[in-house]
Amino acid sequence: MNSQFKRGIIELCVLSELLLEDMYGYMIINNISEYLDVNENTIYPILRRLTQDGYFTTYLEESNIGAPRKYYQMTEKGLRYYMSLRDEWDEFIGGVYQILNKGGKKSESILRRAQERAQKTKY
Amino acid sequence: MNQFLEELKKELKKQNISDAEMNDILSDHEEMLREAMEEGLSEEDIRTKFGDPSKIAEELKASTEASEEHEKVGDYRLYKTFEVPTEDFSMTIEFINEDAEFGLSESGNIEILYQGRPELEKYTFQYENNHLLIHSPRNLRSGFTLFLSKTKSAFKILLPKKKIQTAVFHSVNGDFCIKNLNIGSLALKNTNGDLCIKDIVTENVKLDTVNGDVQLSNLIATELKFSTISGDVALNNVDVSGPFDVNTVSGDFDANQVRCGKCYFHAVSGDFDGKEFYPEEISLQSVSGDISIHNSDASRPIHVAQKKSVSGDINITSK
Repeated sequence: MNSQFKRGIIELCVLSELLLEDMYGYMIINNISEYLDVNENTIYPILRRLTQDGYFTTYLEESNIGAPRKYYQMTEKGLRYYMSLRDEWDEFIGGVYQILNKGGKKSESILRRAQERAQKTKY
Repeated sequence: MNQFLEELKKELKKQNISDAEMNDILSDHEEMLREAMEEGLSEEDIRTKFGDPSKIAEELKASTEASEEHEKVGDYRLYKTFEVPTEDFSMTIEFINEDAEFGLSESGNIEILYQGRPELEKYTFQYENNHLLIHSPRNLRSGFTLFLSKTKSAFKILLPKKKIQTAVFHSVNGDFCIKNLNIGSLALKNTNGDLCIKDIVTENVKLDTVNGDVQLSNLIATELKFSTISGDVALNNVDVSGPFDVNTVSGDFDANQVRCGKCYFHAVSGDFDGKEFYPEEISLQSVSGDISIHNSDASRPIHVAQKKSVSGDINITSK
């Protein structure tokens, strides 16, 4: 997948994870990689950049793993950014689905017709 | 775990990331790797989960680069300055998605400031033969980047208090704000961006927009040509000594405290609503677009030169 496009999606996911709950880095990575095939090396740089840009703040909290954990917390600026990004995403993906679903979702007959057309070509 | 950290450290050094930042990144990773081990992940699982350290370093470098090397001025960073030795100059600005603000500089130089993370090295910023040329990287934007307009960046271009002979602006999605300038001939084309023009003294103005809304205030000009498809336009305190031509499809015009020579309003369904609007004469050509004017000075009658419309009308009231 186009890597910039992918980065944009991961960015939206990272923001979304932190909407309602403060989380530490490993937790965010686990939550996202549960659904998407992405590595820490994609997620962490995005998390760090969003923090540098003031979308998150961080604080340390003692934990049971021996050392304190760094928690990420969304700022108001981060929330505004999430909302604008989310709007753009919905608009974009909505447009994509409108194109894909032209002529109805249950595409059996469409696929059959496409197959027939494809058979007529030489390749 | 230690091997991963060692490798990461080496890669970060390779990318010239500062010591302070490197320590921070390493400590974040130490924490995350500890969590992973706690979870019982094997060395191999950790490799898969964390990926290649060289990629982290590259990504981090790309995101710190722009922000650190330029001096911060308010919410912006100063990228470049050009001296303007002559009494006047010209400029051509071609942006795509960037928002941009144009105004006066205190230093008397041209100052180029930015916000966000534009890939500055891919832009053209040039001052040659008394001409400022700025344009966005071409052939960079693919279809996918529609969604990625989140990487939207903003520029602030500050200019010396000198006459700008010609100024040409182009944009597709960027919002433009142009303030406090003295421009001989001003031409602007924008598709979706909104436009704000304020405190401008100029001669010829030619504005072409498609969807963007426009606000014009405190403008003095000799000629004003305006064309829009669906953008709405608000004019406030505008003085045009010569002709004022408007072409609109469905965009509405709202004029307050506007004086001009011959005004020609050509519309499909867009309406023109004037308060304290004093053209020397007015012409309407429309399908359903109306002109209505409410003035307080009855001693300045408005001559209707022409009216060609299917259902539109001209209504002038003064009291």
